[in-house]
Amino acid sequence: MSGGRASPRLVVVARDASPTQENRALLAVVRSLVAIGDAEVTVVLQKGGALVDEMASITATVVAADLSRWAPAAVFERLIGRMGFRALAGRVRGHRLGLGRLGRGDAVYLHTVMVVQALRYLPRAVPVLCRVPESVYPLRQPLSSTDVRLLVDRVTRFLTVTSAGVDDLVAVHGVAPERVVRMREAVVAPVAGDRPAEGPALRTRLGFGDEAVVVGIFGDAAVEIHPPCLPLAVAIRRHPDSDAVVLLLVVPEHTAGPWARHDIEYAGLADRVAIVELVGSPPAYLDVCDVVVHAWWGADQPLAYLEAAAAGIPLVCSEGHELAELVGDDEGGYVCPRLDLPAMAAGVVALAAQPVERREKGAVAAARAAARYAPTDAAGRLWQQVLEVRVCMPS
Amino acid sequence: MTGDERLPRLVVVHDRATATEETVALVELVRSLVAGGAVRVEVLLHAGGPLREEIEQLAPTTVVTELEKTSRAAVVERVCFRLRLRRAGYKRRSRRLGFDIWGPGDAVYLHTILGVQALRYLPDRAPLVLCRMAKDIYPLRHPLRRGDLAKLLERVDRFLPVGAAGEATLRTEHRVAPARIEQIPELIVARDHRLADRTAERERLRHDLGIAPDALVVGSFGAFESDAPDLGVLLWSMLSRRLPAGRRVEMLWWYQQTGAGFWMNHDLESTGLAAHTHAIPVREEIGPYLELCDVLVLLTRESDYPYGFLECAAQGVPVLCFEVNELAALAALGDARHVAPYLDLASLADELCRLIGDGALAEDGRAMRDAVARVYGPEAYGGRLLEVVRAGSGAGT
Repeated sequence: MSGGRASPRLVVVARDASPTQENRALLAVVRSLVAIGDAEVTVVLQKGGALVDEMASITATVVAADLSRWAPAAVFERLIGRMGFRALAGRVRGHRLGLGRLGRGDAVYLHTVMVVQALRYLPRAVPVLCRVPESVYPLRQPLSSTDVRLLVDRVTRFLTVTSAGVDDLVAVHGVAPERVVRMREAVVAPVAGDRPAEGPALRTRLGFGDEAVVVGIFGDAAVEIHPPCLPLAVAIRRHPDSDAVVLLLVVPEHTAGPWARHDIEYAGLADRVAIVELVGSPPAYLDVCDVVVHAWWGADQPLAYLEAAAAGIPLVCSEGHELAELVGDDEGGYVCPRLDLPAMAAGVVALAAQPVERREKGAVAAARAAARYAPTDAAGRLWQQVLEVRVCMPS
Repeated sequence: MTGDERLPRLVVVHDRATATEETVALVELVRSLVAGGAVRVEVLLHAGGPLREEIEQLAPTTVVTELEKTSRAAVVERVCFRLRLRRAGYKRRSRRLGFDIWGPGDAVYLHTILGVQALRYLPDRAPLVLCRMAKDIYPLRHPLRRGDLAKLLERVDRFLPVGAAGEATLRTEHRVAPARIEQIPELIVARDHRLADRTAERERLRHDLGIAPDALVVGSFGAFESDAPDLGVLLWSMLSRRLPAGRRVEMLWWYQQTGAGFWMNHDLESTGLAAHTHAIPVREEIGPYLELCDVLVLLTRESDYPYGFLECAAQGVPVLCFEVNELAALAALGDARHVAPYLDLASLADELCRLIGDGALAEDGRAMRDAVARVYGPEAYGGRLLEVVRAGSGAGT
């Protein structure tokens, strides 16, 4: 505890409050942290968004982008920043965001490495936890080398979502293994009526007919230059009963380049595959998917797939992958021998042919996702980490 | 000079007679041309080396660095060069080499662009000059001085690039007219006793990598930006499940240290395949690793090291690839089943398993070796070379 306050403070820092499933899950985690009641929870957002009011109704929320530019403190901050006193300007910014009075007994949780800037506003004594989400490159996101160095130097404990993130931090960035913990994600199901159903219009826009069974493949961290899901598309096409199956590849912006399109054309998949760049949140694309298939290994908690399961879409994946936990003994979809493309193709085709079975398996996947990735549990795990790092901080 | 004086003369120029794959191939080319009897072959080497004697037994051979130095002609030539009368010096040298008089249909063939110096000994118009351009990362960007490059571009009548990259470089960077370019298949000869025995190095590397003596090695190479190294993990995974019990297979994977490489390594670890996969970063020289391979599986769109792969195939190493790969035609000569439709990894895994499993490897290896000899051997190359000579000198029309 600091300054004789009754409760320690936990400041949650996130990028924005846009209405993504990831942010809805954060909202639920914050709600649970508040309910735990052991800390005074505040939220600092770099930018606002549609979920700000809901967040503010749960706990004190500051949106950095909305702070007055003309308050005396803001003018002073800009002035000393222009004079080159960056550290001092950072401290002033910290006070304006409510981060300045944090002490050893308090803690800060960065929900993503992309809010690294907040570290410049914090007193040295306060412990910092930082979630490293699934991404194209863990810690190789669009961060400058200075920001990466700041993270590595300043964060007390990294909470990485993927085992690749652990490898990256320990092997590539030299972070001591005891500073890195692999954490289970928090995932929430889409709320009915939360937003207009986009499925039918999106299907039309993507050129999928009414009879088509849409199989979604979501580019996660592993999808680099060449989506390895295209060999799966080839395997599906080779399957004799696959006429109705079409593939929707949703990939990060930079991977949907000319080579991916070349491969689709060259492999004769143009009539079977639609490739879209991920803009906005995945659920818009999830709306058109009847099945999702994870055709490679990559990140072990691929968020889009967890969200698909939470939304009640059955999964096809490899044995041994974390996603297989949601499928179980083929109750939530199909678990195939490890990275066996013909077996995956057979699983996809089987699900495509059985709409009732699809719905049943989807319901199982949703129930398992809700149980395994419940935000209340995630909040409990996070709070446990907070307690540990507070104990670890030197007095 | 000896031989039938009525035959057109073909002077084969090479830089030195060192014991390299390229020079061994040249020796076999000379042997084949002499045996063919269509031309009167002479060889000009800039320097000697272990293979010189063998070349001398095949055809009249001159080694430039060993030209006698005390005759009147040699002294005059040196004086000319000392006085910076280079043109006069080259004229003298030309006369000493017998390069001053040429007949119709005669030609000079540079086996490498490093033989450029010989062009200075030739008259301006005759004979016809052909120059092979070996596959290289930067064709025509060998350590050539600007003057040598200009001489090549000015005097060579037909460039013979062995790959599309060489042809493109000539056309786009050096503005060489397409009529002066004739792409030909590379000249490949299997390694034999003439080259240093590398068994000890191979065994040491195998040991260092932890590959058991009885294990079969499958190599997958090529990891540039347009490639898809992450397909390897899918192939390995399917192959490992299809392998017959007790068959030990190790995989060599040459990768680029990019994000794709990071994830491939991660995936290999996560799927338990890393124990039998040896990831070789691209900074390592590829040659020694290629020598370890019993089968090559190319998952790339293009062949990044076709010469290395061809040499492997010449030794009887089957090549498997997608139909899009530029080595697909060669792979199919070994066996049509070695070429899979693009991205059909299951087909490749099935075929690889068949090769490994039922003892077909030795048979397919022989077929591969024969196919390379047919398409890239000295007879094929020599035949193509003479066609270009005839076409260029008008004798064939």
